[in-house]
Amino acid sequence: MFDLIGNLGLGLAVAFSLKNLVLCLTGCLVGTLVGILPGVGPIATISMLLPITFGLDPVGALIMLAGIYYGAQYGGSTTAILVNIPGEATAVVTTLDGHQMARRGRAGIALGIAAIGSFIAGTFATLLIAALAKPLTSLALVFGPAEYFSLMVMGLVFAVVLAHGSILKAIAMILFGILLSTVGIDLETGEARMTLGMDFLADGIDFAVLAMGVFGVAEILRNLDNVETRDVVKQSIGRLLPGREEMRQSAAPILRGTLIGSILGILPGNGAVLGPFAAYTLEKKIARDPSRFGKGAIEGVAGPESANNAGAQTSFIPLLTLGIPPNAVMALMVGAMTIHGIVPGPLVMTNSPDLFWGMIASMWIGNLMLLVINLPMIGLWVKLLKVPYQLMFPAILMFCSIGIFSINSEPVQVLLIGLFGFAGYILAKFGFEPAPMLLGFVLGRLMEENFRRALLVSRGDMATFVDSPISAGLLLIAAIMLIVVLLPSFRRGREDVFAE
Amino acid sequence: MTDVARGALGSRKQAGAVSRKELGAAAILIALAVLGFALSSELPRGTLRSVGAGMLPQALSVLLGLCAIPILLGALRGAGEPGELTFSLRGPALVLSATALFALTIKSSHFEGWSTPELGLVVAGPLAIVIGGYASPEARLRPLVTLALFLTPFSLVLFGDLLNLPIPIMPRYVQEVLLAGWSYRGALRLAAALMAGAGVLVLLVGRRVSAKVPTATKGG
Amino acid sequence: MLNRRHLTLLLVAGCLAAALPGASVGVFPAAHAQDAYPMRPVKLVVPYAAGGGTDAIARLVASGVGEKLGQPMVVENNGTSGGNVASQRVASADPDGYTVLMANQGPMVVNPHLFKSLKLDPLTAFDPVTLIARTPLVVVVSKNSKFKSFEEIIAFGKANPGALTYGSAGNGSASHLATALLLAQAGIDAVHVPYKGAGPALNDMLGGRGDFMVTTLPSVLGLVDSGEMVPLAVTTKERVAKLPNVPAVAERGYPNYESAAWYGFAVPKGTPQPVIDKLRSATLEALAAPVIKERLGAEGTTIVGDTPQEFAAMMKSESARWATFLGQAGISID
Repeated sequence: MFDLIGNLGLGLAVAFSLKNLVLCLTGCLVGTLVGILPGVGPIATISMLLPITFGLDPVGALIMLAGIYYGAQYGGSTTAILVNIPGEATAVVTTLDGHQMARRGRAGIALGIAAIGSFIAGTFATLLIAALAKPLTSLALVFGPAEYFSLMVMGLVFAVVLAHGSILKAIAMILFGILLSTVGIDLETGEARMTLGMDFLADGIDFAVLAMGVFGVAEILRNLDNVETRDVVKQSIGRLLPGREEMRQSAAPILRGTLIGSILGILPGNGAVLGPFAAYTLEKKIARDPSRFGKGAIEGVAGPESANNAGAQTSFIPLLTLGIPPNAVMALMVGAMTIHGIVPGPLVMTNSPDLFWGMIASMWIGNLMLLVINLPMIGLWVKLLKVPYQLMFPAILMFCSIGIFSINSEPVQVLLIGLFGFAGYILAKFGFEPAPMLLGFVLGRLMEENFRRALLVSRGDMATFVDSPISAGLLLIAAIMLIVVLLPSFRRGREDVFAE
Repeated sequence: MTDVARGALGSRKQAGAVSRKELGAAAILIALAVLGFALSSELPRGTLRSVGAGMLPQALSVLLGLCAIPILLGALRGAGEPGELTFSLRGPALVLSATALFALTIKSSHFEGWSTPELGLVVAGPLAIVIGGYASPEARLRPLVTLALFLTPFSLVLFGDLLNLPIPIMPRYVQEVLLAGWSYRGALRLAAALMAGAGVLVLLVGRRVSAKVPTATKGG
Repeated sequence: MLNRRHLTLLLVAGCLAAALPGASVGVFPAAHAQDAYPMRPVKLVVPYAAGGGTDAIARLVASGVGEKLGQPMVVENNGTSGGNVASQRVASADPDGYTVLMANQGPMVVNPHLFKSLKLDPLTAFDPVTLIARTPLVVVVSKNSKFKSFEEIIAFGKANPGALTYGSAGNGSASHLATALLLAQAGIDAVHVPYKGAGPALNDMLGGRGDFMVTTLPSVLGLVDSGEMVPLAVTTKERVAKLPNVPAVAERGYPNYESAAWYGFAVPKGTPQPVIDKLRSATLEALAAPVIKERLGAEGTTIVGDTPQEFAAMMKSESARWATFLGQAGISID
């Protein structure tokens, strides 16, 4: 405990230097900006801004780059809530209730609760990293392919809960999402799968492209069809910030989300992706009236947003304690460390304590800054919603195009968002929802990889999935969950099917 | 099976008429299943010890096809969500054209035997906005052009200058011939300034004209 | 109505047309292409996604080269299809020095023999500029492994065919090929488990779900320094300065064994010689800067910087070597 205070003190001393504060603020601002811009994302930005940090000292450089990362998480929710475009996998669930809140004139409240929830989650996760980073590392190590596969199976069962229409159609969309995730060069054997001989499909379909198509562009097409629902804000805009009642409603979901997100964030292989989905599923399952979800339930924003930010923070643990990056952004951070002459690994904590603790302290400061940046901006965002739709959607279209193009300067990807948008528009006409499909897409790839990897390691023995207690436990939860979800619909049909 | 169909579709509506929407949904699933299976049919399925590349895609295609059966049965019994199916052509066609034009003009693409010139964001951006904008039946040219003339320079500065992303700015020959010796940033800022200037001009001209002719805004 | 609209458009177009030359021609006369190189940013195409080891080195070097050239060197990532899309794109770009490939062993010498569908011959499609750096790979096991030396793991593998499991950074990666080459020379049959990048693979090795791994030194140096992973051998002909006590595979019974990751610059065939020279001298100048030396040295990468002829000869012999090996081992990708 004494150590913790001493270490955090050292960290705060480092992070509170004027220069590092400015760098942290810069990172948060840039991060918020790229998070808001559809498609651009933290990966492209951090890699582009890497050279700019060459002139800085390592601590400052990493503080700034980390700021971009969690700033982008905040910014991503803004786009998801305002225009229904999830910039990253973690923002998909935020669109479900967040955008519905915006349509009901509660955009400000949704944005506010997202920012506040994220801040609380960030604070908790920072303390968690500071206190328990070392012991938590072992959690990352016990998660092998078998455990990971079971976790993904559980996640796919969650995906069924995401749907608010027909369960059968939701399952079909999950399957379709997994099918889409298998497009590309097979990781294990190197065979090209369903690529039609196209080079740009060899690496598979990019998540941002698919999400932007089936959410963003499809939404535009739907709105164009429908004059009444076109303008995002139909009703008058109410309060700008959440009031006492909303805070009371969100308190428990924020805490639950924070806990779920923190744990999943530590896992290797991008477990943080699951955080928001798991939080959403939990909130919907324990809610007294689950039918509110998908129609602007504030818990459906508070829980997942907290989980998202908590996971974003705790995913630094494997990076800081092992030097092993759990996702692409963290891989970039490894590159940044290397470029600044720091060898990422377990020794960073002892060899460069100022860097280690400075970075952790800066995370909390960054979260505070983001709260301060984001709350006043809410008014501006809400005003933006009043722009007439016939001017708003061409602007969204162009920003999406530029954003997608900038990912790897590939014009075909821009064309693809149009095609996916059209596909999403048609699918929605027949009652298929895009959210389960996206979750299937994200988890499907991880599930297949780990399934095959586990069987390689076990030499084809299926028992590997139940031998490990963690894996067996996760599969059991998945099975129970599946029964809980399916039983009522088998027994009495679903009441809320027609509610949209 | 019928229990599944009813449960899953939650149909409590009157049976009778065949639901076109549900019929279509089943048809889509079958089409996707057939497509998925056809595309992955040549891949080896492998064994459990070494799972092949084709195992999952093929299994998924079969499952997708199975999902279609209860939906189909439900559709024939008139189950499903109410609401008629309407499609519009204008929106999808113009939005797709906008993204396609953006893709073709932003940088040069090479095809078998021909290639497109690199025109950069100063051309691609306005094209996407104006063509895409016409997807709305109420689109009017002047507001769209004005929007394009302000948003394109804004994006140039935002993406190219502030975020450092490598985006082609303008046609290659313009940059080489007219702006030789200019730095990337300089050329970018000049282009942005000129476009924004033109935007202000359009705005001013528009205001003056509409002040003189009050009915000027009714066109479409 | 229509007329007024057209008038506006014409006005805008006119303004643009009048403004562009007016603002530029008067001030800056057009110069000759070659002497003035570079007149606009130079694009460095990296055949990997952003965030890997190659990408980090590329960005570090690119910032230095850009400074020396007086125009920014902009990094563009495209990791599609093992880097083949990137190399094909550079090969078909205008040979004017504005498109440069971060050439490394994957796209340059391995992929032509690995990918059945690749039509490009990198040895003839590019003009080499210079080799930039070399990175050794290292054979590592977890600290809890029962194998304490290189000989032990080789002996176990020979005695128990199919019993060893090794991770790699991906199918066809330097990590995979270095291991495959080693196993082939030692006559060992082991199970390959590919991952997406070295990080997740190392995570599973640490957790005891694989026996060993051959990976680039920078990717594992932190774990080696702290003792989490134990280096058993390095893949270069000689020992590595960072790990003086670790033997080279070549001195433990496989004298012909050598495998290293390397990075260089290459431009499309037909690029004018003065342009290549200018790019090369800027690169060498950048590599000489202490910042780059220190930072690459810290992770165990050696800076080279040689002539186009040396670089070309090196690639030619590497290419021949991998062609033979991959053909014999029967490793290929669609």
